[in-house]
Amino acid sequence: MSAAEAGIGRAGGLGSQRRVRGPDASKLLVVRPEGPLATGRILDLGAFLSRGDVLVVNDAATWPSSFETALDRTRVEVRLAARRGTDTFRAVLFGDGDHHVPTERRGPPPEVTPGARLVARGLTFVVEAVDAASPRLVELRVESARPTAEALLLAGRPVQYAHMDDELALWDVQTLFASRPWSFEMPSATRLLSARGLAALRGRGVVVVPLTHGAGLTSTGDAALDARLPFDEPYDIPEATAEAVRAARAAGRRVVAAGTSVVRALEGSFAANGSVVAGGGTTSWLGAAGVPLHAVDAMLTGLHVPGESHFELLRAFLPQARLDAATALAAREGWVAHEFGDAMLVFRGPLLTF
Amino acid sequence: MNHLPQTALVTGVSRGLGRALFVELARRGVAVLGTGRDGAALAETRALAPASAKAHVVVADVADKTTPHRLAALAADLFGPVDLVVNNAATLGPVPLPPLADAACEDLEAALLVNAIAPFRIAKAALGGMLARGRGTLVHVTSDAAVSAYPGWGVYGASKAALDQLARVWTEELRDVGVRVLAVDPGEMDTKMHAEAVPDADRATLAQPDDVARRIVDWLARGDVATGSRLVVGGAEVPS
Repeated sequence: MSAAEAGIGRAGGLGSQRRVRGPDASKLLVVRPEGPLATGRILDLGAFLSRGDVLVVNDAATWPSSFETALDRTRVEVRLAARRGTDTFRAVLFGDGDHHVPTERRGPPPEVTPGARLVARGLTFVVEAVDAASPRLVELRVESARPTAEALLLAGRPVQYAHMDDELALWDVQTLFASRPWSFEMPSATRLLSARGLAALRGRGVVVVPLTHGAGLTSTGDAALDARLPFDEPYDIPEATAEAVRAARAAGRRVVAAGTSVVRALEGSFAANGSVVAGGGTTSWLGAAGVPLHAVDAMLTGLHVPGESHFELLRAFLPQARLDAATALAAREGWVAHEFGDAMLVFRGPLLTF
Repeated sequence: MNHLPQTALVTGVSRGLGRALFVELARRGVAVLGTGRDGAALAETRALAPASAKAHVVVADVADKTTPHRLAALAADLFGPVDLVVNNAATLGPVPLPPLADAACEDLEAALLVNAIAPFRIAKAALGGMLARGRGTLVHVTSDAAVSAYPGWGVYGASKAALDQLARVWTEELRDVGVRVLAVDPGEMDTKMHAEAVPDADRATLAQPDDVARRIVDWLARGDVATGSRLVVGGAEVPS
């Protein structure tokens, strides 16, 4: 997100959404490997897919992953980035300033060492380890009289976006399907689906199935740390979803991923097992130009800006020239990027065959 | 055959029917997250359920807009995605029950918030996992006061009628996605709420919440209750 934040509101020619808005407002840009670009609204998504295509969504609920804490008398913001165990998390520390300040302009947090106690409301984060390369990246253990999830849900606030005027509440950052709290930022592509949108897709015979993917932070404001994102992330694929993907393959139908988190999960499962199978795992799959796609034929995503890791993953689907043409059209037409913004449906080349 | 869900979210478990439902579900092996505003009473509720049960209580006010998503996420984290919601928490409104001409509009707003809007929010928050998996059950506790016109019961009755109507539309909208919507009218029970509403009732004629809860859970455990059904405890079931 840092490229967009550098020029709040207009980067790569694309604006950012300043207010929360419902999913149905999003426009949709359809990018195939060849042929003209197509535009429509997100509710038209089904018109660009075929009966029997499978859309895989991320049903992770979003943690309120930002915490105001005090290290002695110094204020430190803790942003959770990944869950290690029931009570332990990887996190990034932020210093002076709040969400209205772009992350790369925030002051550095104080140095912490193992044993340091970051006190929040109703819980304390105890530093267990500090990353050797990045002192802002830490491992934390939660101490609380309540179960950890309960304490975190009570004390935390959603991560805020500098490009927005609205302060996001917990209900603003949940998707239609949100259930297990695995995600530290909102699965923004899944958020493009409203109940009306889901009904429209099902009416056209598109099969919509979930997996759970623990998407982490996408920006920390520290270029060196950002270069290490995304971290390895956990995923869990239910039986019914693995079966739907298998059946789509067998019938020559498409598997469409709602967002980069779903792509990482499906490609991660394929990489680990030779096909997409039911069960949990951890994915380290990274999309980039030249990285082959084995499990996914298309991706629904938000609009992203060159330089962001989301954009890099797009290059696994399409050549740079196609992406540039799409970005240029979106910018010309005044579309908006990032959360609560407009959307893109990208198709990779020919359908996969075994 | 036991068709009970894996994970339930029940509101208003500090006492009365909510407490009895929490305990009965826990006894039957359903993982249950219960909420209420009274921490001490909640602890007593938890103590009535088997110690080894997957049963947890949390202080929460359903009137708070942040509550529903916190509850759904907590239940999912502790036990798994919610597949049964029992919207039981309710307010009677002002007591002694006033004629509408004496009821403040703020009393009506407060009753609508707790008795209709909060259940609506909670249903929405829990619905996600149900939509993703294509199964789940939404249950709300309602009352004869939502159907018949009893003087003094206008505020409470109107709020329960709103809840009933929301449920009727939910029933149709969710018919094709595998989510059942059910209503329960528990009848008159020997509870604090009843005592506040009808102080001079003959308590011996009132049903015990434990018995009513068992009846409700028996109903939910059946495999053949169609969406849109309304259980009137002590009366005949109204199928959809």
